[in-house]
Amino acid sequence: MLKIVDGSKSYNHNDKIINVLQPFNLLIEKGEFVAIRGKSGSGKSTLLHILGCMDQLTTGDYYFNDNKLSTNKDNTLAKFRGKHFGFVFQAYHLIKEFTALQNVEAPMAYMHTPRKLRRERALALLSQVGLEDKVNFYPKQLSGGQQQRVAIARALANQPDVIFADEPTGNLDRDNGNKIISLLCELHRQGTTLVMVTHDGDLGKIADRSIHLVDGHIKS
Amino acid sequence: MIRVMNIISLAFRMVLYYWKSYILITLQIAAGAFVIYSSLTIYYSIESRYKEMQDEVHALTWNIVAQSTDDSDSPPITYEQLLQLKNSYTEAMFPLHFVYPVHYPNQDNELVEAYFIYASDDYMKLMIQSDETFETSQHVYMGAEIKQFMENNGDLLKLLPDTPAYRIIDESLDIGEEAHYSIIPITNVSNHKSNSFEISIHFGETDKKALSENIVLLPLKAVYEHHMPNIEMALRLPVRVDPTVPGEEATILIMQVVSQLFSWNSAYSYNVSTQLQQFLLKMTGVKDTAVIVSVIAIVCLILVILGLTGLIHLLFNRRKQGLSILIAMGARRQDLWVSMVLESMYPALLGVGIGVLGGYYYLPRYVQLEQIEISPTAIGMFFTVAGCLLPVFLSSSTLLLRIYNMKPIKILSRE
Repeated sequence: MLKIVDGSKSYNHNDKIINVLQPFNLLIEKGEFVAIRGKSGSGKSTLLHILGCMDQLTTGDYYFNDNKLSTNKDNTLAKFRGKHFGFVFQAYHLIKEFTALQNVEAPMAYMHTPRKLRRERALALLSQVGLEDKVNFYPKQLSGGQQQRVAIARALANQPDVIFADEPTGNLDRDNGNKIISLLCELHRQGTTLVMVTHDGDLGKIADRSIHLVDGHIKS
Repeated sequence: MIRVMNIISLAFRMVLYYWKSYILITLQIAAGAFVIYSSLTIYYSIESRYKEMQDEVHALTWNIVAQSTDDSDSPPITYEQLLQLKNSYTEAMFPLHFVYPVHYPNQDNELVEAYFIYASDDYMKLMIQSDETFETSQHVYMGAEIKQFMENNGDLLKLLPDTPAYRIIDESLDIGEEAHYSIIPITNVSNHKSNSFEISIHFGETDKKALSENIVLLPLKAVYEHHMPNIEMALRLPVRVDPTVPGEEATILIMQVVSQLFSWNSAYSYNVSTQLQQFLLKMTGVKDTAVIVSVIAIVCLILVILGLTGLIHLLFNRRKQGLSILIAMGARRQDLWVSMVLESMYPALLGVGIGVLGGYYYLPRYVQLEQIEISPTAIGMFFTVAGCLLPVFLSSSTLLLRIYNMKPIKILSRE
């Protein structure tokens, strides 16, 4: 489903080339739950961003269902992201000006979903994550766990093929963290491909497969 | 369509969220729009009246009023000067005429007023549509009543200035104190008055009717044989400009004629129909004030719009994270840009709406100018709306580069 061939990523910083990801090949199958693990600065978030089409490879090619994405332009990638991918961030990244309901509706708005359908689906997703009574709350009125559940509902808005989660429990206490992991595992059981960055060894164990990153080198 | 609606609603949602930031700017734009719309409306109302008046230049016969500044006994315009004017300004008519109101006792022995009018060709053409050469002829046009009087009294009249008209009642004189020009049959009056003059009326030569029962039309040139300065009555030199000449040129022509007359006869002062002239001058002043107010309002509005631009950029800095999230979720950068431009346009539109509607309501009710109807103008509305919204659009457009240069990954990773 997701395939990177001869990929690498480097940055130019003060005329010095920093290799964040050394040349690698990667294949993630449909329906897989893949955990990307590694120490801080090992390049795991960069890999997630490349897989989520929010960043691009320096060398190599990236394919989604055999469609080459690495040569696509910004607008095409944006459309692709909206249609096929969902994101859950460590810091939730809800839009503070929107209510929980509007946050979940937002990705659908950019996929030209009619207003009525958008509203129905957003309400159903918030209900699915147990926030049916918080739909009109703004992010600042919600706890961290609730915000992350809104973020998950938002990631599911366009019925994505893949969900990318970047340390989704990093800012949560254990109890709330467990709830979020349960929710993500439930989505995986329903058939959604899940790619999650974590440095928590226990979380790595519940994934189908773990990818270890050590100083930019991928060791599956 | 759904995409457009979504962008519009997103922008609207943002304005509602940040309404406290926008409200002051909206009110400032409303004030600016009100002043601009009001001054434009006043300007266009005056301009429109101005144009009407320029058109009236054609319909009007302009009267150049000549008044003697000393005891000059020369006429304010000689016959030769009239001919010169006619040659110089072929696009104008000069229906010059000298009027002598006279009094005489009629058949019923009542004192009645009659008018001896020495008329030019242009006057005859204008008043009775006659194309004949009249001003140098020996012809006379007469009203029926005075004609009858003269038939009874002979064909030679004597005009007696400064002499009250009189009639005989019961064999005694009844003097008309108000009638200071009399005509008495020469056979009945002695020739002792030095300023009296005779008019030979060969009424048998024409049966054409004058303008009314008591008018006698005489050739203009004859007046110069016995012209007398008349201090009490200012002479009016009428000028009528050909309708094909634009109003502004016609006005200039009139001014040139006045200037020419003054250079010929400095013993007279010449003025154009003063009421009209004063009105034009007054309205020119109001129009200039409206222009100045407009310019001040535009400057103020530009300052407000710069403030709005600053606010939009400030909000952009505060919203970088939200915009990055939207990009991550599939929003195209141009959609976000359009959304932010719309966001700045909403308060501007609301402000302009309040300002224009305020002007629309307020102006006709509370602003009144003499002879001017202050009415709302579509062109005023258009320029106000365009003048307010276009700079807002242009200034918020500067966000385009900032949005395109935004790096969502960096912004989201920073959190």
